[in-house]
Amino acid sequence: MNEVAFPQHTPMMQQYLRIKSQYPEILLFYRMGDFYELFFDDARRAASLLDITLTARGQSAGQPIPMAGVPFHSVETYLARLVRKGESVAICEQLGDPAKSKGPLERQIVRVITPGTVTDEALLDERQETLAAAAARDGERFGLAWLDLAAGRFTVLQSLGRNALAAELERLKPAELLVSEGALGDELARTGTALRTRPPWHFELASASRLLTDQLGTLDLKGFGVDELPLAICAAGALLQYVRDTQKSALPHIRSLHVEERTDTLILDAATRRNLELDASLAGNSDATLFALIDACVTAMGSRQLRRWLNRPLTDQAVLRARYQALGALIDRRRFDEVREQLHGIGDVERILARVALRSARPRDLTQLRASLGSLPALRCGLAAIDSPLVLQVRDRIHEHRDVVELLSAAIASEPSAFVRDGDVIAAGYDAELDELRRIATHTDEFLLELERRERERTGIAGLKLGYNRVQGFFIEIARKDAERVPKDYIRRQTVKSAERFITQELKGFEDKVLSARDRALAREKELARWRSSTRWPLSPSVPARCSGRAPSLSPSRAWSSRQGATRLSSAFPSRLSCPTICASRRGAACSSSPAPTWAENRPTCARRR
Amino acid sequence: MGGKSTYMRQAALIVLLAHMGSYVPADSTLIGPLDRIFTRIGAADDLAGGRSTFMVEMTEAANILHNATARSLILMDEIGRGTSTFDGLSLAWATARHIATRLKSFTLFATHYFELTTLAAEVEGCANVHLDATEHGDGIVFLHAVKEGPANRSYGLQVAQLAGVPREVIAQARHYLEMLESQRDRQNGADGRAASAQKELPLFASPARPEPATDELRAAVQAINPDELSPKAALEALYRLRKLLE
Repeated sequence: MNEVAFPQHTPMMQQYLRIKSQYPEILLFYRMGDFYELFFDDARRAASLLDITLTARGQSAGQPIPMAGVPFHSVETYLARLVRKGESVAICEQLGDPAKSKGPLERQIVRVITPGTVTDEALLDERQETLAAAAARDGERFGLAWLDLAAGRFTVLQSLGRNALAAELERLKPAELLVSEGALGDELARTGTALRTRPPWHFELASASRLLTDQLGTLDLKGFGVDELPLAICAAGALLQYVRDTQKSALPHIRSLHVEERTDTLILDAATRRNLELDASLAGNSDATLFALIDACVTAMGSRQLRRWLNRPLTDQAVLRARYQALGALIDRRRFDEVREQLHGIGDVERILARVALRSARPRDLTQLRASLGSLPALRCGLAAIDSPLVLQVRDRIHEHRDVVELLSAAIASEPSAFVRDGDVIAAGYDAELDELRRIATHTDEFLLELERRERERTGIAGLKLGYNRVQGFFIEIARKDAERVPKDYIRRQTVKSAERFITQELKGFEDKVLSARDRALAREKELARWRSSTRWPLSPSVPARCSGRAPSLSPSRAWSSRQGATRLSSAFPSRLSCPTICASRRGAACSSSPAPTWAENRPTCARRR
Repeated sequence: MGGKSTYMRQAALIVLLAHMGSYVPADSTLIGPLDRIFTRIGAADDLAGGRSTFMVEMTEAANILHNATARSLILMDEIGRGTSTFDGLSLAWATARHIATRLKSFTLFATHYFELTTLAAEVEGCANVHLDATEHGDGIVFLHAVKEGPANRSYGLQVAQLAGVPREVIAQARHYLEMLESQRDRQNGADGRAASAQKELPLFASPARPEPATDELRAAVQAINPDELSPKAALEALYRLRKLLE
């Protein structure tokens, strides 16, 4: 459509085409009043993807323009469907005030939604991470970076070999994988990951390092242990560039870069991962997986942590022993019951904080955050009773964040509306100006009666009355006989048959207030909400999230005991679980490699149960 | 049906659970130390990639044979079934032997080739187990229990019957099976070595030892990095390799 010269088009279509030319490959949702519209090829594509009606809009350049649209209030469900189909969408909003501008409104792309960078609750799978990844390669060596934007978790890995890369991609299953133009194409295409080619200069070491240090606020990358991993840096830089381009906002919650080593994990190649059906079954049924069987986590954060752990089994025996010990302590006298109870109050703090950082948090996010933080003291108290160094370590990292709780309690209504645009989000008593505006909007009559009473007292004129008409607005009416007792600050407005009508500064002010009170209350709320989300939170986004995420994932035993007999599969599991012994040396295992006793003892338990 | 694949996966999943820090569903376990888990279980072909079932199987097997160590856990389910009987049997036998004698990985190797069970007698650290089943009239009951020793027979026909394969086909198969078995027994009798039918197969001769030079040659080739060689250095390397052969 770009070949059509713009001057032939209407001004609005010229604007559309100008914006569209920046995003030729992805769908552009162009806001027009209460709808997001798509035009030309976008409209055709969206119509078939979303099963919405394809219509035409007037004519431009002598041709009817194909058009399809979705109402703004239900845009999320449509976005969710597109994202699930691997589509990216650029959202173009109206920025100008329709009442004041001439010609087409000013419009701008406010963000680009891509399958790997979504952060909206509606677009995310609650119990699974959504990742964007980037890969850079040099010969056999490769660097891989991945980001869970909705949690601010940014990780890199550098290693060797095609199989290793395939295995890592199978583990992470990124929703998008960025590769340098013409670099890795064919081979990765076979892994089934959605590839996005990015210009090669995004993968350049110098610019990538600069971008990363800028984001992380450090002089160099030594502190993160990546300075010796050039390919990892290249991949991370390209990824960060992409996320910045799509989010069009600062990413204050991305504050560190984590390095993973392949050597401290039990390595599973891509085929093994698929064959063992850890969290995706070969038949595509997510219920028939090991993850589905053991995931009984209370919180969504816990489920995601558990999935990460399952997908990355460790070989460090100290870490594993600490976990066994913690599990043992939790299972002992079913102490986990109480902990689970306390965890019920915890929302998806990790994702909420990411949305706060990206300034897309909804009022409900904040009430959930408030409730979650509010249940931390009880959780801390409960964890203190568990006799385990690991659990205590987790407990020590949970802070109560009283200041934030106080702020949220004071500022956010107990049951706010879903959107700031609907008002009633900021709590009463938080902002004097807002309270006043709201009071005026809802209690006009009371205010007038109050004012009337005060003015009568002040002037001593018993016949003083307040009135309103469309021409004059509010006025104070005083009978002619009392006219000379009128105070100096009264301004004459009108003389009628037997009375004089006045206004005062206060009444004038009130009039302005009333007429615009609702609008202004809303504007003030938005302003406060903006201030609120731009305030630097005295809260590290990751810490409470990860801590409260870890506790639930330490009690998978629940899965075994509570789901007994619920499904055919789980009935095969014994009611007794044991703590595994992992040998430090092969010699330790040698005793069991003499086959006779081991085979007999380890026969599948389902046989015994029948 | 017997639970062989389930048993094998169970081993891997228990190991995996232990390595994520979870308790495991077993009375007691002694694991590892392990560095990797390899599986050759699935039998999906890769139509889009243009690879047959057998090709996929062999690619995965190759990966295992190249990369497994004495600390790896290997699950191999019916390697070689994607090709003709003798090809498959030979491959399975050589693979099992390589793993048992060279790699010495922790391995569960499932096979229907009865001939492979002799490996337990030949190689140290190798044992046969089978999943138990009993016949019940014409049908079969799987006990899902692991027993020591090789399976003494297979139940393919019974399972086929259970799966609803038409009776006449089963009857014909049974007839043919009896024919094959008696034929084999006759041959073995003629050769006077009835006890070990499998010794018939030439592949049970001792495996060809690689010539001593081969390892050296392999090392020399591995040491070469083609990306860094100048044409002159490449030529020199070629001469050096040639010399190694002599």
